Amino acid sequence: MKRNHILVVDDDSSLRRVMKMQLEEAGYAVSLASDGEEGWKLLRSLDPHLVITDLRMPTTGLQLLERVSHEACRRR
Amino acid sequence: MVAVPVSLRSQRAKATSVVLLVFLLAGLTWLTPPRDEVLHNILHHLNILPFMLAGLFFGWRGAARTLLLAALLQTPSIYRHWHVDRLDADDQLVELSIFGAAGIIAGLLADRERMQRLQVEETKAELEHVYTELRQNIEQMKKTERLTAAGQLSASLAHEIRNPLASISGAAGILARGQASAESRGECLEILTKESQRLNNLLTNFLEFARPRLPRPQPTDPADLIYAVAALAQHVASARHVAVRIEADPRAPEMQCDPEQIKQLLLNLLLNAVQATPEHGSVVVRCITLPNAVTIEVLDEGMGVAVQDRERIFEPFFTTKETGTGLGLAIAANIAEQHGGRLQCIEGDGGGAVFRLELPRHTVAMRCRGTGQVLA
Ligand SMILES: Nc1ncnc2c1ncn2[C@@H]1O[C@H](COP(=O)(O)OP(=O)(O)OP(=O)(O)O)[C@@H](O)[C@H]1O
Ligand SMILES: [Mg+2]
Repeated sequence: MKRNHILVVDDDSSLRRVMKMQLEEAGYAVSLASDGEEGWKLLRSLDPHLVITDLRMPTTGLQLLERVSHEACRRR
Repeated sequence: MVAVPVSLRSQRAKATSVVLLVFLLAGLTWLTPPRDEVLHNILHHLNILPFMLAGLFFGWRGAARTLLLAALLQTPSIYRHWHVDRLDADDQLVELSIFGAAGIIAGLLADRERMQRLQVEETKAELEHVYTELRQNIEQMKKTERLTAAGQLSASLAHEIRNPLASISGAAGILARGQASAESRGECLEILTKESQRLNNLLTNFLEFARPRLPRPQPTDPADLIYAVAALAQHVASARHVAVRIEADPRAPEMQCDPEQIKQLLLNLLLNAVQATPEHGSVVVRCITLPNAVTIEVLDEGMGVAVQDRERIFEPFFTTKETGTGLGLAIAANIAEQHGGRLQCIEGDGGGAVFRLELPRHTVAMRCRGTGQVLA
């Protein structure tokens, strides 16, 4: 069975790594991005089931969220 | 007895003295024999006194009333003169009218002056009122500003603390469950060390920022200061293969400053410069001593600071670095301000950043920042 895939977007590298370990422990496949821009690229290419993002980042998490919801509307 | 206001009392005294004077002059004129021309002449000329006084005290209306009263009281003696010597009576009439007119004119002038004075006083009172109101508003604004600044500061601090805390508790949890691979365990331990170090740095810097101590100025050699700072930064610089070059005149005269604080300021600038400069690049610290000021510049070969960020980088917690606290420049700017100087980020020639510190050579009044007191 294919494992559920989560994308973690956070500019804090320690937090990113800890979350990856925790989520992997819980049985998920995890990808990491360090800002909204990179997050968006990975989101398009990997198509994860879930995105967990920080809001206060260089390219902000809010912008990422806007793009995601925009995309979701379009697909529907 | 009813208490009479001072102004009224003196008004009454003035009026009484004017009326008394008029009566006195009329009485004396009446009592003086018509033949005694010299005495009469003197008495007639004295008439100007009550008119002028009335004009000065009570304006043109007062002078006109006094004239009326005097004319009334002196009618009998004018009438008597008329029969003795008509010319003399004419004289008396003409003099009364001229002196009366002079009194009225003086009264008009006095009125105008009084009006102006009143206006000036009114304006003054109004200005005073506006001034107190303005002062209150400014105080109020300062208070709210301090409060919002304190609020923002605490919010930023909370954010800065929460991230490392989340990493630490996460890593501790993974270790506690004991299911992680050896590799993950190593990573967790590394994260624990790194993040507690980061918290420690943050709190040290924050305390430095929130509770700055007043500078303790003493005679200091600027070149010595710069060499000492370069020595402190040497370790970090050589790890990045960045050369630190110093351009300072060793014979430059001493300046008044707190050497420990200025060293800290320069170290913050120098570390930023070294961190911004690519490997094998160089950083220059340049010191120029003027008669009344000392300028120290730190130049690097990094990317520089975008124009729109040149103010923001001095705000507490503004950072673009993964492990930066964003307090280095806030502390530096604070120290510069307390020394009566200033710290600026300006455009460099080669694209790198230039931080320029300007300090007065002689001590000026040292100041303590407002927010520090609120938070302390
Ligand atoms: N020489 C420089 N060149 C380019 N950018 C700079 C330079 N100095 C400072 N900055 C910018 O200003 C920001 C704030 O600097 P500051 O020293 O206040 O904090 P920091 O260096 O990020 O953190 P810390 O000082 O705690 O390591 C930096 O993150 C960086 O973006
Ligand atoms: Mg710094």
